[in-house]
This record gives sequence, structure tokens and C-alpha cells, in this order.
Amino acid sequence: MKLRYERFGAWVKLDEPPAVVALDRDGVRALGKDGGDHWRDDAPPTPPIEVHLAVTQRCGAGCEGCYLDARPDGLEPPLEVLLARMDALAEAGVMTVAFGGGEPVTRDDLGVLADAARARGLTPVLTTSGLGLSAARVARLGLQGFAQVNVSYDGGAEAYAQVRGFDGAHAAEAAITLLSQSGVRVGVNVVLTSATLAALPETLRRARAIGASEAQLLRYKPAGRAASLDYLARRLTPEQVLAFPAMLRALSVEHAPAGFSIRIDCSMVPFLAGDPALYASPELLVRAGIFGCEGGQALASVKVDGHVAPCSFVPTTALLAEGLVRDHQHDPDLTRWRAYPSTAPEPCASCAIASVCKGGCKAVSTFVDGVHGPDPECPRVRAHRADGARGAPS
Amino acid sequence: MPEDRHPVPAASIRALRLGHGANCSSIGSVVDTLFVTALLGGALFAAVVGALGKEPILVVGPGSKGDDAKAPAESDGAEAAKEPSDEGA
Repeated sequence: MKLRYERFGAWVKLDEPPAVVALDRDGVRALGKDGGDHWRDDAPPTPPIEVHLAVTQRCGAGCEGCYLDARPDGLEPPLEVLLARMDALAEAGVMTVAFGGGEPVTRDDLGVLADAARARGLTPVLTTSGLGLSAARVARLGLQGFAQVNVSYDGGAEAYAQVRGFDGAHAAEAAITLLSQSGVRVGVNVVLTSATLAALPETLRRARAIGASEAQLLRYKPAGRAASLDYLARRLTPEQVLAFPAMLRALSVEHAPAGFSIRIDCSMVPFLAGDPALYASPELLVRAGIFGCEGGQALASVKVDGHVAPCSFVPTTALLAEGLVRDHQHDPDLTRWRAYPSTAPEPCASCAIASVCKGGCKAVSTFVDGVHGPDPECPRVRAHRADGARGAPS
Repeated sequence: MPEDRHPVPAASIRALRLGHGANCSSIGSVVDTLFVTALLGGALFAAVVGALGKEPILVVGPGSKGDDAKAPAESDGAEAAKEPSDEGA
């Protein structure tokens, strides 16, 4: 297992069961380790533990809502450049590297990259549309080298087309089946829009039936080609957001006993504030390892040009991956992101789950409100603003 | 278990994030631990505590060489003061 010291103790990455554990200092000492100066109150902020590494900008799918605006003629870094970036990630103590694009499986050296990640102590995972994936290509690419492969699957034909502008459901389902039968642990990425949320229960049942073992639910975000007025029509409605935790609870109860896990992405954590029981249990959210906006902290993204971004949906910083260890703590943009949770305005300032949520999705707040501020689609933020509009005391 | 290594108290596990996660755009959190109470209780924590007690340890991160802690390369007290010591966990 890998252990990285943090001010609170250490992050520990376990292989079996696959998990990341935050241990306090007593727990670290029980392992016979001591954080030394890493445990000083003025120790510098640590680099991310999970990095999303774009290995290509090329993709021919042409999804309407592509957050990267990936295109068939996009940039593709040479192998040696990506290896150097992974050297930097390993030096920083990153634990998981998620390969994305563009469409990563357009690269013939994907298996080499997975092996290189493991050789550096990084756990490699992968996201793909699954389009064009055949048994021969799965074998040739060495996709078995990945700890997990997630296939973009927004539901059956209608739901898939609602999100991406074309019906790729059949290809995605074929890829899920193929990967599962090839011995690869498969998850699905399900992008949720106002038009597709109702189909989610059926989408998850179908994904599980054809071999997926996990679903990651993703909020539709206004980035790349999705940064348009169309976003306002596609995003979940306030009513859907309020009903979402109950839906999540029902889906989890249905699927977890069968070993099918459900994840939500960081941008959906503010939606949990609408659930009275969860809102009253911030300690449960912490213990369950729920991550809200971790941009500049546990999460970073490295784009195809090598620049680091707080996450995949926002502009890059001036920092290059190769400078992650030396300059992570000094980069002004990352510093601003890290500082936000402790300086957030109301209603985040008084929110019981603010330490987990960290203000919600900044890609959304920046697009909708024009500021790096509270997530405008959070139920508490909506209520706060409605109270303000009515002149009620806050 | 080496002489200086002892069982990790379950109470020392501040946060448990299950799975690998494989999304390339945003960080994900398993929510089953919120809704299926058995998952955050006994068996799972016992498995984690067990794994913590027996897997070989590789220390990673800035200043480490796979084993003992090293001092952080550089301190930034001003920024550090903004963050609670348990930030992120």
C-alpha cells in the first residue's frame, strides 16, 4: 500500500479492498510511521492524490456536450512527453492517474502507458466512449492493465442521444460487455440532464446486467461545447435536484447489495444539502469519503499541453505538470482554489456540510454567475437567494 | 507484522473512499457508504483495518524515498494557516 503524509496524518491507498483511507496521526503511528515535519501546523499544502491526465485531444465522436471540445484533429502528446508527466505525478505522490482525452483508445500505446503508470506506483484507470472498440483492439491495447475502465453510457438510445446528440448506446453497451468479458473491471459514466434523469434507474439496471460493476453519475457541466445557453435548458431542474438524494438512496439500496457501486461526482455533492438527514450528518459524509470540490487540493487535471488545471472543466493554470512538486504550493490560481472553502461567502459560510462540499462546482458558478463563488444550483444557495430577493433576513 | 507496527484503531480511519474510480473529468465518491449502513460498519472496516495491518508500506510524496518521512521541501506558513489541519479528511 502507498502512504503519503498529510497534516492530518496520511492518505493510504489500498489495493485490496481497493480504497483510499485518510488515517489520523495515531493511525499512522500504529503503522510504525511518523510524519515528522509533514505534521507541522505550517507544513505546505500537498499535491493532489488523483490526477486526470489527458493523453489525446483527438476524438471523432463529436458529442454535442463535450466538455473539452475534442476534435478528430486535436493535439496528441508523444509517449515520452506523457511518461515525463507521469514521472512528475509519481514524484508528487499522486496515487491514481485517470487517463482521458479526447478518446484515449485512439492511441496505440495505451497499454504501454498503463504499464508505465504502474511501474511508477500510480494506479491507472481509463475513460472511453467505447466507440470502435473490438475484442482485438482490447487485447492489442492491453486494457487489462487498467485497474478500471469506465465507458460513457448515458442510457438507452434516447437518453444517450439527448446528452451527446447521436445514438451511441449500442456501441457503448457492446464495449461494456466486451470489456467485462475480457476480465476488465468496468464502470459507466452517466451524464445526467433534465431530460435523462428519469431514465437513470433503467440505465443502471441495464449497465449492471451487461457487466458493469460501478456507475459514476455526472452532472452536466457548462464547459467546452456545453458552455452555451443550451446548458440552462439541459441542467437538472430545481425540483430534480431536490429529489435527487432520495433517488440516489433508492438506487444505492437496490444495487449495493449486489456489489454494484454508485458514485456521484464532486459537482453533485451540493445536491446532498437538500436532504435533511445528510445535511445533519456532516461527520458521516466525511467518514464515507465524500469529496466535493477538490480543485487545487486532492484533485488536478493535466491537459494535453501539459498545463495543470484545478479540474478538467476549468481553464489551466500557468503551472506545468513537471513543476507540480516544486510549484504546486505557490501557483496563484491553485492557491485561490484552495483558499475558497475557508473564505466562502454565505450561504456556504454557515453550511453544515461546507467542509465536504467546498462550495460546489466552480465551473457552474463561473458560467452562470460569472464568479468563483457558491454553486447557484445548490438547494441552499437557491433558498438563500430567494430569501434575499424577498427581503427576508439571512 | 513488524515490532513497531500495531493494529490500526478503527477510530483512526477518518475517511474511507472505496474503489478506484475511473472517471477522467471529475473526482467521484461512492455513496453506498451513506445509504447502506452495513457498508460503513463492521465487515468493511474490519477488512480495511486488516489490510492496513499486513500490506507492505511504500511512503510516497515530496521528499520521500519510499520509507521514512522527510521534511517538506519548503514551508508556506501563510497559506497553511488558512487551512484547518484536517482539510480533505
